[in-house]
Amino acid sequence: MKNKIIIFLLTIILFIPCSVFALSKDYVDNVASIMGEKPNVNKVSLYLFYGEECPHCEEERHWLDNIKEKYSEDLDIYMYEVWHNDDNSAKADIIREKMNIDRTGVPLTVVGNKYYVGFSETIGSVIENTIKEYAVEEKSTEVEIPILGRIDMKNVSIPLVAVVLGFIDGFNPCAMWVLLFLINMLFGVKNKKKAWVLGLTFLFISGFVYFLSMLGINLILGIATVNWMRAAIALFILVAGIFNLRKYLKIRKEEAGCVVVDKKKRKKLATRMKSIIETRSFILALIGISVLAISVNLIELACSLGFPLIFTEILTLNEVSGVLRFVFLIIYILFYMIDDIFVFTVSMVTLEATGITNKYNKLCTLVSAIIMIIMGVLLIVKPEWIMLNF
Amino acid sequence: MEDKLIVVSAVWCPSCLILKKNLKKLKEEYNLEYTMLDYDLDDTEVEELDVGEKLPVMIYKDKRLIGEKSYEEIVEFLRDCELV
Repeated sequence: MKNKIIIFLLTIILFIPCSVFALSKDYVDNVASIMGEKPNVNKVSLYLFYGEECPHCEEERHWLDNIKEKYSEDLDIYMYEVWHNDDNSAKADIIREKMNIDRTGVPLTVVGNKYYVGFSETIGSVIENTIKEYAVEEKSTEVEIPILGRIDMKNVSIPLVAVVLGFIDGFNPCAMWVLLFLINMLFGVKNKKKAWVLGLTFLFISGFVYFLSMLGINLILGIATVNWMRAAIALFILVAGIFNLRKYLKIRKEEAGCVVVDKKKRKKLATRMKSIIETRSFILALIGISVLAISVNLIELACSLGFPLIFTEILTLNEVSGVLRFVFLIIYILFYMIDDIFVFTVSMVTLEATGITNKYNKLCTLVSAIIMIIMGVLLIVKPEWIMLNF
Repeated sequence: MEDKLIVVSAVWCPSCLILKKNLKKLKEEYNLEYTMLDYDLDDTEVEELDVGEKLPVMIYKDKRLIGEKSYEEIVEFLRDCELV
């Protein structure tokens, strides 16, 4: 139990990408070439043109001392005196012309494509925001890893998220009752090849249904760029989380074990499965088992919309599209199905039904609840945190 | 039947499969004897026992062990029943 928790925590830590700083795509340096500077390409450069005796300049220089400390990793500051230095003054004029600055006063502050003439507390906070915009907003998640070279952490984090979310989403041993039913019936099939194909088809179609539903959610969310719709989704996830938490509190003190599935449901399924397996025509049996997989999984899907929604939102917020999106979805599904694949394979090979312990079911419910609540809140309050670049 | 250990399980219940593995071990270690009832196939007997909503269930006289338990917990229950 303890080990599992440690593994879980380690995985969470792996989620946090170590970002290396880089600049926003919008950042352009208009000044460096004119002033003959060679600025650090990984930092924002702020250029201040000031007059020695000008009080506002003095104020800004003082203010910049703090800013320099605050953004030391992201910002370089260059200062040029223009009242006494003719060379600087002439160059400042060139910059004014280049950037269409029609006011001649000092202090003149240039950051990227933006400039500010004069200084006040308000201008200061605007300048600070500009620095943040150029610096913080689009941090590159590429990191330098020895041997492997440059790797985009985003591309590593998302598959990891897919693995963990998929696994937690799919982990519900008691929900495996349909599969176990099937395995028990397949034991009676003399043609082992047929038994394997039918079982694998059931698993594949189950996964495929989930995959298609996630694609569907993707499409709907793709259209749902409107804010209120995003808020509604976030709210839905939050509510689902609270429901899970309630469920956890309810089962917390209960014995671990499987709740008896409704008798009618069981009988119906058993009859249906039996007739499918006993069908002489292999093709008809295949179709039968596929239809069964579809109907069983569609019902289950309705119960667990939370995680697919979370994962889709993560993909959307991280602007994962095209083939990569498919790949990540497939990874998610694969780990969603992994316990079923495990149970099926082991049972069929050992010819003895294998179960997965239900002991961790409570923990799993709690973890699901926590993830949903955190994600729901983040989606409402701080969606940028889900962009996996803190 | 009253004085024998009864185990109620079902093919569709993973926790029951875990118990079955433990029972196998117990049989080897303590030569434990028990009657296995299937929730679906032996439904009349199961109904009489009124096993409730959760599986698996181990029953000995008026003592019951409900749900998935660890090997040690099962042994403790059996000791309590003076079966091992």
